[in-house]
Amino acid sequence: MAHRLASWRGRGPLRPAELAEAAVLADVSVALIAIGWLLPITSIFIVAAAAPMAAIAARNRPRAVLAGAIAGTTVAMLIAGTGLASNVVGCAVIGTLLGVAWRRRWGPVRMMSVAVGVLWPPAALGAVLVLTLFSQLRSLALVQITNTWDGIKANLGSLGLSSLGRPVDPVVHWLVEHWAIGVPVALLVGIVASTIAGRILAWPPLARLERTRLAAPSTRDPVPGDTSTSAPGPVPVQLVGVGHTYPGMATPALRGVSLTVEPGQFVAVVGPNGSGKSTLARILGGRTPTSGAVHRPGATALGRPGGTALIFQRPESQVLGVRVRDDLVWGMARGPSVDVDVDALLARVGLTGFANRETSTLSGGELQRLAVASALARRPSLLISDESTAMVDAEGRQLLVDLLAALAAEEGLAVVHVTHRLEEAKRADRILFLERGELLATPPAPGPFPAPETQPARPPTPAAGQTIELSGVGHVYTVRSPWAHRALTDVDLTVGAGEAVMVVGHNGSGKSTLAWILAGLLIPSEGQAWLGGQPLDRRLGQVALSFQHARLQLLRSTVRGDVRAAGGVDAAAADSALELVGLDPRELGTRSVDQLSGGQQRRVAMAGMLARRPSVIILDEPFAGLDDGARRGLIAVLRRLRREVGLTIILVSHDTDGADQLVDRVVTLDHGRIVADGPVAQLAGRGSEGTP
Amino acid sequence: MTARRNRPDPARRKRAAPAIADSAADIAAATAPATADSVMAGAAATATSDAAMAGAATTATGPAPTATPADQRRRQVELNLLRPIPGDTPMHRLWAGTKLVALAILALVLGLKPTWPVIAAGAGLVIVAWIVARIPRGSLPRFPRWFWVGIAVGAFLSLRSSAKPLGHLGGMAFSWGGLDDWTRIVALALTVFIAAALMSWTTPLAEVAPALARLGTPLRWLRLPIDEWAATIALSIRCLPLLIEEVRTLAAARRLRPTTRLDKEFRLTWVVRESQDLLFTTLAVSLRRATELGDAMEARGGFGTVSDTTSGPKWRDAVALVLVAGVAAAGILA
Repeated sequence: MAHRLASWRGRGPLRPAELAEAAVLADVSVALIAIGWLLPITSIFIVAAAAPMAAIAARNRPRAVLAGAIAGTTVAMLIAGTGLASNVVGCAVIGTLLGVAWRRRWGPVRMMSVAVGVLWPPAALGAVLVLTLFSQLRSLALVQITNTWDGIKANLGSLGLSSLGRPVDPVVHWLVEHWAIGVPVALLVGIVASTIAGRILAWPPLARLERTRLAAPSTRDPVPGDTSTSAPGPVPVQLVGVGHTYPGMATPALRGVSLTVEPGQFVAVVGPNGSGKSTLARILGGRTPTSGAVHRPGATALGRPGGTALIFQRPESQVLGVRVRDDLVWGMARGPSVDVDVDALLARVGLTGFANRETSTLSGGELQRLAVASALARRPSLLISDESTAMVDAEGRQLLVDLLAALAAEEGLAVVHVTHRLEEAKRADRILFLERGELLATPPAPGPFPAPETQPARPPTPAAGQTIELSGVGHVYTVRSPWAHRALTDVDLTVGAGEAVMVVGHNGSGKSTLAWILAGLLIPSEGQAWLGGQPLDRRLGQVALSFQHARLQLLRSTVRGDVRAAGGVDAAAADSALELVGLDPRELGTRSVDQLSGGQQRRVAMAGMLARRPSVIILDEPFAGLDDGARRGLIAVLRRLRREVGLTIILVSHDTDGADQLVDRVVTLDHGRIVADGPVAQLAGRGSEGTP
Repeated sequence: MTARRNRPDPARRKRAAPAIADSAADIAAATAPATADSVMAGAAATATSDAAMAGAATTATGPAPTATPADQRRRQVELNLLRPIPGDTPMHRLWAGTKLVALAILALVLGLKPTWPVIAAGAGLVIVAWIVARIPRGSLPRFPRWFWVGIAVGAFLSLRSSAKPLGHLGGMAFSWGGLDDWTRIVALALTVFIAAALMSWTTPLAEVAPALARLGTPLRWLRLPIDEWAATIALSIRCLPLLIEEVRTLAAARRLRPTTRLDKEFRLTWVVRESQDLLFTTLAVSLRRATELGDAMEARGGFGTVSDTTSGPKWRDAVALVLVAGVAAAGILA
């Protein structure tokens, strides 16, 4: 405890991790208040909105809390003006109290005394001062209160209930007349009530946060711990017998790795998830390993000219600028020294003409190439791509790998590309195979796809299955506004009970919109969407939807608890659902959902949905980020489900690898229209890679 | 809109009514996800139909149809958070800082002197700016139904008050003074709201943080970390769409789950626990996102510039400010 408290006492400017946490959590707070505003009955959100602010305060320095509060207030101001902004200020104040109280483990009495003794007096004084300054607005508001009360009284009188209003009448008039007392009293009540409610709502999540591995920024190891200002010189780099063990872990993530990376080399590091690839990438980027030696001529100099550039896995998390051109210069030293040839850089990565596009409109592959461009803007001599292709579609992957190869060959950069796909390593000058933290001498033999079934993959019985029917379905988001955006046009689709269908298409082809409509989450703006003769949106839960980001589907803390809640079933049924997706309930049942790998989280989410006995399951990009082994395992599970339960399966993906083992029909979407719909043979004819 | 035939139509509003009567807190929890989703999706139904949707998820059967889906679609609430409308009008060309200052002046003057002439002048300015910026009418968010109901109830109660002057209609006394006060309050709130919306419609979001940093220059003399704040604001603006998408997905995931209580729990306990679960998941996902963003920032060597913009005040900004300040001064002095 003592050492943890000591680490709060950090000084100086915010570190990037602290700043990011403040910015993101402030956004969450604003979003929650905005929801509370739109619906008065959900005012619970306004109390809940203090929780993200409390999380900033519980995990960071006051300096970060201030930055978050200012950012949240500004964003709220831009959205809806002063009203929303003042709510954010209120949440920031209460949230700070909740967070500090949590960190110091204050009891309820101490917390309340601080609320009343420290927060209330300045708040009351400020409110009275503001109301004194804006005296006309104050009188208008007070007159309105009196008028409204008069109106209520008059109506009570008409109903013959005037006796009800009589005792309240003097109270209202007294408070309006003595507003300088009434307003502080109202504030006091508000502060006390929201402190109590906030403690009930926000503390348990804070406690859970502390138990998970989501370490606070100040206690976290800086990405690669290179803060030196010495001359950059990341390559040639030589690793001699390098090993690394994370604190608190029994087995090393990396052991006995020796290798050299020279300028102009394109090195691919291939291995399954958990093989230590990312650890190796971070050691190359400057983190000090726990054993062995790293020799390089100078500092790794992250983000500095001649230094090291790192690109990570999730495309949207890499991009920091609002527009493409902002992202290229984001984080550079301020002032006239920023001379970046935006157009040339974008042309280099194949994004010509993108300079003024908003980054939120780019596809995953485009975002990753933008990340490369932003890296190049800093003229690095070592470029490390840590699984940057894992979340990108086939076409985007190809472009990205070609770009990396070209940078090594033409610009003399040392490029290290970490991936779990062997085919991406073909262009590399050298391929390193990693398994369980060790370099292998020879490539591991690729595991076989599940053996061909002895019986056909068609389900024996269509079971109680029901047919999904879409006719003339189209969807326009924010119709009749300047942002109206057509996602789907005239889609006719019938999926019979027990069928296994794959929906393929590029980014922005309308796949996700279709998935949401099929799950009943979105009412299409045109046409009809039915399941077994009833509108899909009335049958919420009958069609399960597994999201790409599975963590969002796990709400309870333990695996078994979550499956129970998701299915509305008892523990035994939850366990059999877990077995159905190939997870061992005895081993994982009591595990926290945050301790699972991405692939496991996806399976737990699936188990929860299956426990509810849906007739259809939709899987949105189920293979994204999975390595070969995990992918084969998931396909085997789905095949079994189809055979044994007779489940209808709809696979929505840009990734067609291995899907021919599972589906028998492929529907291709392009610009919101179905352009092809036929047996899987078509897919095989085009090869396993890519969409048309 | 296509005609719909043969479509079984379980009641939406009808089932919503008892639900609302049930307990407000319960609905908040049951519909919260749905609601969050609606808001975040920018295209979804109103409170009532959301409550009904949640109801439809739990109850298998429903009484006769009352509302058609076409109705439902017409009542969609749309909210667009921070979405600029591209254009090249004088309003768009103004420096972001100028618009921020003008907005502050407007709010200040309306607060200091909420009289009809000043409100009219402020509203006039906003309308002129609207026309100059060529904002299509569909840009206005469609307010939820409770908003209009609230305005109507407020107006009705004010009419029944005893504020002078009073009028008579069919033997009943009506307070025109009360209505006048109420209308003033509504007009004032709408003017400020639309002014803020105009600002975000016509300003590239990337320019907001640099403009604020520049406006905050005097605070630098107090050695306040203006650049740090500007970077946080810029990142918040950038991340809002990401987080909205995540909250929207989370809400959808909640809607797909049953709303039955598994163990014997008090309803209030259940509501609180469900809210805590949703909150925790939101926090966990956001923190993971923050970690990744922090890593990306660290990989770029920290924060500094946040925007590739060289915009600053020009002569047209001076003209605009003089105009706003003139109207404001006239309003205060008149």
